[in-house]
Amino acid sequence: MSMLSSYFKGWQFRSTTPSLEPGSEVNVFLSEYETDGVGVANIGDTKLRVDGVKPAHVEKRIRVAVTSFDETESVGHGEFRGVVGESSYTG
Amino acid sequence: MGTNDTDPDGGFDVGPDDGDDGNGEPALEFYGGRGMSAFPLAFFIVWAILQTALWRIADTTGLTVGMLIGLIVGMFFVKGSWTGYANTIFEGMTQPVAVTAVVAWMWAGMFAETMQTGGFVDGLVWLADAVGVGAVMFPALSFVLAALLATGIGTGYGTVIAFVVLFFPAGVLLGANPVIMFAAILSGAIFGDNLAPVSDTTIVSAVTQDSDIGGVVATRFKYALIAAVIAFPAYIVASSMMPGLGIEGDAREIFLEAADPVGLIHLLSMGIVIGAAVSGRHIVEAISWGIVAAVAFNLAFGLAAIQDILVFRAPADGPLAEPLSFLPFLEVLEPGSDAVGVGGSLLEGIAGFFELAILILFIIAGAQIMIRGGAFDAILSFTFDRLATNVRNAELTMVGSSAFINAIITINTAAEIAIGPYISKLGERFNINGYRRANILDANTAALGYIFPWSGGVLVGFEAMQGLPDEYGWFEQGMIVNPVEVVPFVFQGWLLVAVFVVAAITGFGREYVIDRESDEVARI
Repeated sequence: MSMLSSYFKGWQFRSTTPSLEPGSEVNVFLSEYETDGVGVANIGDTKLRVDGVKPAHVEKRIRVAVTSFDETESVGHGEFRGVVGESSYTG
Repeated sequence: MGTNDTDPDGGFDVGPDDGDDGNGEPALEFYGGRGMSAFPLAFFIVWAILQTALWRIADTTGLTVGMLIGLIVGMFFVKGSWTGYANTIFEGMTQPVAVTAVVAWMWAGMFAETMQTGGFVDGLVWLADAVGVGAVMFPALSFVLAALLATGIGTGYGTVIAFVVLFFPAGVLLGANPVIMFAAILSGAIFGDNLAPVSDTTIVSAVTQDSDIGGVVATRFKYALIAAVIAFPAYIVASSMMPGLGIEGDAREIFLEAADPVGLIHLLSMGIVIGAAVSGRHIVEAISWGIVAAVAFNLAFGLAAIQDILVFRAPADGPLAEPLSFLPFLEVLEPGSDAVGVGGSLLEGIAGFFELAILILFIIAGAQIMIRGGAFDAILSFTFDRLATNVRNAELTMVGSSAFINAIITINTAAEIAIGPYISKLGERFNINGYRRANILDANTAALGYIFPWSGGVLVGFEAMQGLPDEYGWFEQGMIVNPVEVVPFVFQGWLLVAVFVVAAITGFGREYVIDRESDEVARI
């Protein structure tokens, strides 16, 4: 990213419920573990349900392949691909 | 930090780092429940409020003692062996967050002090004189120039002192209102403390939120600019409405001695650091280039001698002192002199951060005890249940909590370090990216550190003002500004907080982790 564009990126009003693109892969922090290998990542107020996670993945930065997204409900589904990073504080 | 690559099937080692023993129980157990693991940090915060806000003792080493006593007393509440508690202290102190901040501070300190030694302030004084504005415009001009100095040297406190000594009396002589003058100087310091890549608070905000410093500076530019664009005319309006003291005098006399246009060359030193950091260079590399440039300009333009930058003051009986006395950075002292030591801007620059460097290590250790003992989780659970129920509320909670802790603790860097982990976890929960988290954290840290009568920035300015009656015959004791009066006029501070409240509500500038890839994070 050029120096000038760094300054001008983000001059916008971002939705509380960002959309996800089916077929894309995203890195997100896993917020909660529900049950049966399913966890939830909150991206703003959008919920991304992720299959194939473990309880230990909560608060880890994980890579997720987005499989579907419902614009009206702001809920998406995806599949766990791997852990890509830690939280700033490993607590 | 925070970007540990792992094998693609997710085999990440999470066992020992989870803050629990794998059964949902905290790794450290305390008498009185998991809330007691917050004791060391809570003790420190109470100590800091008493020492700095209520007793007005802005002593960083005093804060370190408070943190240490908190850690010692907290140990007595641990169930079973104390070894785990002791090990957790070391675990906290070796977190990348702490050491990264310490390294960046050392570099920033050397750069800032070398620029100041090279007469950067003198250049700004010359500029103010050359512009030649009157009483109405002078506070606004002082705001802009103080902002420029603080953005260059990164220290708001240093800016306040330099400007209170030179610009404040000049403004009063010109006919500007003293309260507005002081407030404008504080506002300039806030701008720079918030935006400068070499500012201690900028560095802490970036490293606690797992972000690179260049990216943090570039992304927070918009918030600082919006506040400043409103603050600038506000100072013109306030200055035109509030009368001066009506003292007859020539403000130029104050400026003439200190004015030197050559010092403005350090705008280039400053530009090199900001440019390199924002364009993606590692902060250590960016500031190193700035140091090289500042030293070169100082020597090439005669702004400072080598001895002003680095000097060895050796006793005459040193084995190789006399034979090597021709070296420009070696000064051989007269017998009996007690000035033996190493000096110069490079040394003074790092020395200014030694106390803070030790303090951050122990605060992070206290935070780690809280994480391992479960109090941190308890506070987060409460926050997510009651306060941060959606992303908008989460951001408002981040604004409110960082503003509150900075309003009650005088030394704003310490407050920022203490609240950093909370802001991080809160933001990560909603996948708010590190830049946005760092910007919310630092805006409130910078703003609230210069507004209230007990704020560190106000105190150093007030203290510097005490010397003005001795310096200038016409300056009477009664002209010293009461810190309470200045509170409503620190426009940049109030506006910066307001900008973030509006930004949290409207989503202005909000970025999620999915919006910006975090490969930049690895640069830290």
